[in-house]
Amino acid sequence: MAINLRTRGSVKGGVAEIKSLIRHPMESGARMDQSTGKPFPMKLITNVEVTVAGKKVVDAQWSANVSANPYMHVNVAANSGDEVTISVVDNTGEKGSETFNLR
Amino acid sequence: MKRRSFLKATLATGAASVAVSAGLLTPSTVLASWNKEAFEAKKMEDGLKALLGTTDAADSADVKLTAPAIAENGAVTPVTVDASGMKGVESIVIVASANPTPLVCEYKFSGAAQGFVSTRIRLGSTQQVVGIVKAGGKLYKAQQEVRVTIGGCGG
Repeated sequence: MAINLRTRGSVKGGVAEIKSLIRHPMESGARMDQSTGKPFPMKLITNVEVTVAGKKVVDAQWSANVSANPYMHVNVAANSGDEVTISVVDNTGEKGSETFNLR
Repeated sequence: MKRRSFLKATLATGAASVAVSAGLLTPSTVLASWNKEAFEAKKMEDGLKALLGTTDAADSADVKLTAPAIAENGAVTPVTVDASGMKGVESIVIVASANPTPLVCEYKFSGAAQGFVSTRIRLGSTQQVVGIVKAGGKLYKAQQEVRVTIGGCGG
């Protein structure tokens, strides 16, 4: 199962606003399941990378303090038509990525 | 025959250990880049030391932290750190000072990226949210108190 991403990017005045919504529980491993008394197993996106036109521009690390179904907005100087790739990986090794061209 | 099988076995295991030490078989290389010590630190100071090496950050008007004064639901608090006005921004770190593990996220920028991050974070209780910007090897920060009516950590 790959992690599901939905990303939009548009260029305004030479700057691309890259906004990404990721479907992921971001489970910290500390939250208790009331019915069993055991914690829900940890499942966290730990690393996020953004590349624009083949160059890595953003390299992020996340903790459990990032909300479930994370939203991320970064700005990158770019031209319309540039290829953007967002890739994420969680602590269980599950990955997800999305590639599109800037409008 | 015994000697022959013994030799075979030692040769096979020898080859496997060589492969491991040469880096051909590297377990979980992806996760190795996650700073577990920093992100699972229980205190903000410990986390920042593990991540950035220091806790000294100067207040700066060029770091603009946008967060709601009152967050009705602590599980999804929109936070924006804008340092586009600064030059040479290397990274942005967001910290929720009173959360069980205060460090929220670290964004490292390179190339054409601008010093700007907007995301949604969890806040367990009313607390200071701190945005730390590393630019030109120095740390700058801005902070704001966010009142939380319903906590977002735990059930």
